[in-house]
Amino acid sequence: MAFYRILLMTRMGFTTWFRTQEILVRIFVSSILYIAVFGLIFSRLSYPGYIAYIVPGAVSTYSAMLPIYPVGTLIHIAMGRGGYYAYMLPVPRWSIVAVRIIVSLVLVVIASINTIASYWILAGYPNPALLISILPAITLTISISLFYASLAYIIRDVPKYFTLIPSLSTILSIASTAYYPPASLSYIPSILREIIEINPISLSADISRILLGVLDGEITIKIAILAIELTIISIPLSMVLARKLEF
Amino acid sequence: MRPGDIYMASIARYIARSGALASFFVKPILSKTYIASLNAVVLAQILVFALALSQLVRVEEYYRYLVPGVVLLSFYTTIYSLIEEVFFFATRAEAYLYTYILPLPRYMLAIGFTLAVSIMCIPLYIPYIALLALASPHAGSPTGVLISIASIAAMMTIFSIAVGGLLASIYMSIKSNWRLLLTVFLLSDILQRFSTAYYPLSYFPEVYRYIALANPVTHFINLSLIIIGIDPTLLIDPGFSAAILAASVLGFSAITILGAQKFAEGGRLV
Repeated sequence: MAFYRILLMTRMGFTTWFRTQEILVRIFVSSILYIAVFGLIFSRLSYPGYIAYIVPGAVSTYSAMLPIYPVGTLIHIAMGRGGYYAYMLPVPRWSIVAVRIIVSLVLVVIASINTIASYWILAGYPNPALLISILPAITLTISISLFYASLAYIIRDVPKYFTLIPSLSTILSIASTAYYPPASLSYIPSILREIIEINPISLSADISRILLGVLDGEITIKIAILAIELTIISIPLSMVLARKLEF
Repeated sequence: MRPGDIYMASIARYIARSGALASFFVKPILSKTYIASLNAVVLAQILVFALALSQLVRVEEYYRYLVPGVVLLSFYTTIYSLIEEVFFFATRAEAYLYTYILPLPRYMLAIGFTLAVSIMCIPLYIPYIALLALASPHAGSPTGVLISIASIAAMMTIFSIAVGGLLASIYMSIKSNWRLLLTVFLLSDILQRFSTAYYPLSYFPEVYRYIALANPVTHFINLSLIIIGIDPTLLIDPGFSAAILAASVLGFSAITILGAQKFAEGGRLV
């Protein structure tokens, strides 16, 4: 019975989020512009293979950017009048967060497929192997959504959430190898470079790049570090979240 | 007192009232958290994003070109998002009832709001502008530095009034909330991507150049880069840029005055 209710809630999550075409058009246009303008011009400025290099990077940054609003809407509801209804529902508390994570995942998958399709059109040939880059991004989205939800419940202030979290996600994306190869980080202090290299967004993008053959490196180590980081992020935060959600 | 002076005094009073109203909306947004987050993002862009990209690119002195672009684009996005937020609360949320019964012409509201937002926002960027001006070839003389700072600040004000006017007319003419948010987002995203903030015009593919040349953000950034003293071979002709920027400011202001009056007065308030 609870499972059926969770499914209903998920459906409700989708209908409220995708009721208007706004979000889909935004994702569609943004991801095309990202590749067709930023990627194309920078590949003229730097080297021709740059555009292929940033596709997995773009997919990984969506994991940090796109969950902000579905998770933020949850805290907005919980802090406002909707909280009474949300907490009275005969479903486990975690499912309220799970529904938002599922919506975030759908957004990330749509944006990723659109980015990859834009690249295929620009490059002139379809390379199905690029779809691999969605797999690490999905894992990352679950952990980052959980991270944002926990922060939201700790902050417990809607304007502060919508100020801090977008900035945090921008900094996470900038301080990663999503936009630039590790060699271009030579001028950055070594401590900062190490932080950038172990940033989960960098690891997710680099794993996809190694699988696609656009980057050399040891994939097993990167997968192990990413797995450890995501576990460290997810488990304690789930516990914090579970305690904060309980009444 | 001549009739012209009385008219000018009323305009100034109207703008001051609209500005006071706008600052009422903006002040809670410009919290310490907001300012700290904004600076953290700008610094991360300057110290990591711009530095790493300049290592990747084959253009000489690209870092000097990119840093002002990053700062000015951040100013544009901040102004855009603040004006968007102010207009949303003032004309869409519960506050609209109070906004529209004020004894103020609609276009004065639009101009006053944008002026107040830019006046409150420019001081946040003054330290960055000062650093950019100090790095310019005129840095030798204090007068040169002051002139550079004053010129960029003046251009920021004029540019934000133009952008604000455009947003005001959009907010006052589109009734459906999702269509409004979509239009505002698309406009912002297209203007940002097709601007020369991150890349010189000569590196744009032929098709994109026309969009970039018609984009007021390109010319705002281009003129600022000229003042800062960036390599002129990477920039657009200053006369052409000034003409396009002036035309955009005049065009957007006319749209604001006519659009705000026509659509907001009467039935099409929300």
